[in-house]
Order: sequence, then structure tokens, then C-alpha cells
Amino acid sequence: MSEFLRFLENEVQIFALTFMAVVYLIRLRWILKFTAAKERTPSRGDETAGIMYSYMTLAMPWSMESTSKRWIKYAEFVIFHIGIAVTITATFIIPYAPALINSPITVMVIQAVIAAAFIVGVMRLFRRFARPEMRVISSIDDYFSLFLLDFYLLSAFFGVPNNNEWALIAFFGLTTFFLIYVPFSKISHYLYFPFTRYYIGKHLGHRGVYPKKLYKQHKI
Amino acid sequence: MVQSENAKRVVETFKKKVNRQAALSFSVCVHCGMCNEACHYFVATGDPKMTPAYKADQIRKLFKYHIDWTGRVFPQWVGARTITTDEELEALRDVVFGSCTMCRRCTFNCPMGVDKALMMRMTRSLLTQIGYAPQGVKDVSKDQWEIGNQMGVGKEDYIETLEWLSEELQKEVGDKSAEIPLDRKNCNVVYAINPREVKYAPLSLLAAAKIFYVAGLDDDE
Repeated sequence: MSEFLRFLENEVQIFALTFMAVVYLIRLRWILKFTAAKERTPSRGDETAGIMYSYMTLAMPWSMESTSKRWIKYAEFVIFHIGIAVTITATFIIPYAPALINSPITVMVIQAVIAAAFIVGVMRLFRRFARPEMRVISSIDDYFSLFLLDFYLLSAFFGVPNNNEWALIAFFGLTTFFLIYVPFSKISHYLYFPFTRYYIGKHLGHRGVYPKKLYKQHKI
Repeated sequence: MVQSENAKRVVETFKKKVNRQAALSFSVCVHCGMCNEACHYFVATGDPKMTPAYKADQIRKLFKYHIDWTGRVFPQWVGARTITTDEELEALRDVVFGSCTMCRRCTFNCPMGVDKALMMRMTRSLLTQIGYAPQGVKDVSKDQWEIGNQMGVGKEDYIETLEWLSEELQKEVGDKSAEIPLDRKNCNVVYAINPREVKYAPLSLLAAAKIFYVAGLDDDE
């Protein structure tokens, strides 16, 4: 391993991570400065149950029509995010616990997960370009973030075997760029997502809409 | 371009109106398109500009441009724009008043929990505050406050309509005792009407009356 790669995998990553954490803290402080609206009506339900239900929604594809009727989209969502999570984990394993991925089988499994996520990412990018209803809602950031994630997954695929210096430089170089870019892009949705789900769960729980009740549909 | 007075007022009022729930909903959308098919406007027309995310973006662009610092630094990058002309304001008015029923189906289908109905309501309130609500909405609001229903139907008009509808009912069912009851006490069923039916579609009231008559729900018991 060259001194440059060692520096890139360690000091540079720590600096970029610190930068991201600082920007995230600033963003959280910024969002919390907005006053939260309060309910003005008497409660017709259970806010806590609503919040819990809201958080569980993503793990309950049957609870939303958008996922229950289009299970392929839900599968894509799961595969893509697992791939990203595995890739992020790899950025810690490679410099700090490389022994965990010594086995060729482990490497192959990780590569398979990343490859699946990459394929889903390409499909998503294609859909964004091809469908008019997706083009009309897409900003430059939407295209760039998705393109960048696909490229990042590709670099991770080649970087995970941990035996090719150039592949690792590309992987950690992109990781650095990501850590700095993400807080300013739409990818930072995961920072706000727990808050939106909390508030929508609280509101709909207050109204007695969440948790949704399942009714049997009778044939007419 | 110089910003019109109305556009300036919208922007200034918008900045004051954004609360935490709205700010989060403006910030978290990833434009995944999962809400598209939840919107009956989009399903019915197939028009990409009827997708919930597009409609929300017409408001979100203001948030990005004036409040979110990423939009202030890289406006084009994140789709941040402001409103400068009255024509743009009218377009925004058409979106928030004319292309959303705030049913929240898009919210129920959003993995992120973006509350688009909240954005719509906030913007409707904002446009109403600066006097930019559609004339029809202003009229029905005035009627609701002053007369008690949005169609401005007075009590006498209502009773008179029910009387001639009762006569029609008697003719149609061949029963001179048939009538459309009003404010009858101790009934098992209450039928609340839309004042629009009285004013524009009284025959739909007659149709309901016939159903109740045939079902025997005109009786007190």
C-alpha cells in the first residue's frame, strides 16, 4: 500500500467525516429553529401509536399502495439501500478491520450485493431519464446524485477485494467526495426522514388515521 | 427582472409561514415518484405536471430559493426559483387551488412522509392572506361566513326547494303522502346534504329521497 492510499484511507476520511458531521449538526440546528406547529383539535386517536406506525411503514410494504401494488419497486428500494449500507461499511472495514474480508467467499457475497444495488441504481437512472413524469420532477441534483451513487457502487465493487491500489484510490477518493457533497445534496434525506415520519405519524395518530385499520374487502 | 409587488408580498409572507413540519416536508423529498399514481389528477390526465411531486415543487422552489441555504448558493442545482411576476403567481394559484383536493393519498404513499397537503394548505392560506385566492373561493367563503353555507342558499330557498321536490317525489312514486322530511326529531337516519345540490343539482336530492322512500327510511322508527 502506498503512503498516498494510507493517507486517503485514514486522515482524509476522518477529515471528511468530521466535515460531514459538522455540516449535519448545522443543518439539524437550522431545521430545529423552525417552530413546530401544534395540534389545535381534540385528539381522536393515539399519537404515540401513530408515530410508531409511521416509523414502521417502510418495513411494512403492504401498508402503502405504492409498495404493495408495485412490489418490484419496493424490492428495488431494499436492494439499493442495502447495497449502499454495505458499501459504507466497507469504507470502515478496509482500513480498520481488513481481516473480516479475507475470505474470497465473503468478498464475492459483498460484491454480489453491491452489483445488485448498482443494477437497481442504473434502472432508476434510466427511469428518471426515460419517463416524462420523472423528468419533470428531476433537478440536476437528482440526476447527479444518482449517477454519482452508481459510480460509487461500481468503484466499491472493484475496491472491496482490497488488492488493487487504483481501485482503492478511486473508491476512497469517491468516498471523500461523497462525505463532503452529501450534506448539500438530496442524499441527505436520511437526516430529515426520521423527523418527517415522526411528525406525520404524530399528526395522523392524533386524528386517529394512523395506525391504519385493515378492513376485509367483501366481494359484491 | 424586477419583482412585482404581489410577488414580493408572497415571498415575505411565505418566509413567515414556514413551520418545522413544512420545512421538513420541503427538505426531505427525493423525487422518487412513488406518489405519482396516488394522485387522481395524474391518473385521470396522465399529465406529468399533475404529479404530486411536481405540484409540491412549485412551492418548494420558493423554500429552496429563499430559505434553504443550498438553494441560495446553487439555485439551479437544486431547482430553486423565486416568483417575480403576477403571471407566475397566477400559475401557482392554479396549482394549489385547482389541482389538489388535499386528500393526502400522496402522503400515505410517500416513503419519506412528505406532507404535500400541508404545503398546499399553507400556500392556499398565504395566497388568500394577500388577496390572491380565486374569486370563486372568495365568494363561497364569504357566503359560508355570512349565510352559513358555501352556496349562499337561504333557509327559505331551501324549504321551497324541498317542497317542490316533495311534489315531484309524490308524482314519481305515486304516493301523495310521500315527502322529504326536514328537521324531523327522533329519526334513525340523518341525511346531510351538500348545499350545492340544492342550488345546482336538486334532482340528486330527489334521487336520494326516492331511495329513502323505497327503503322505508321515511318512517320514524
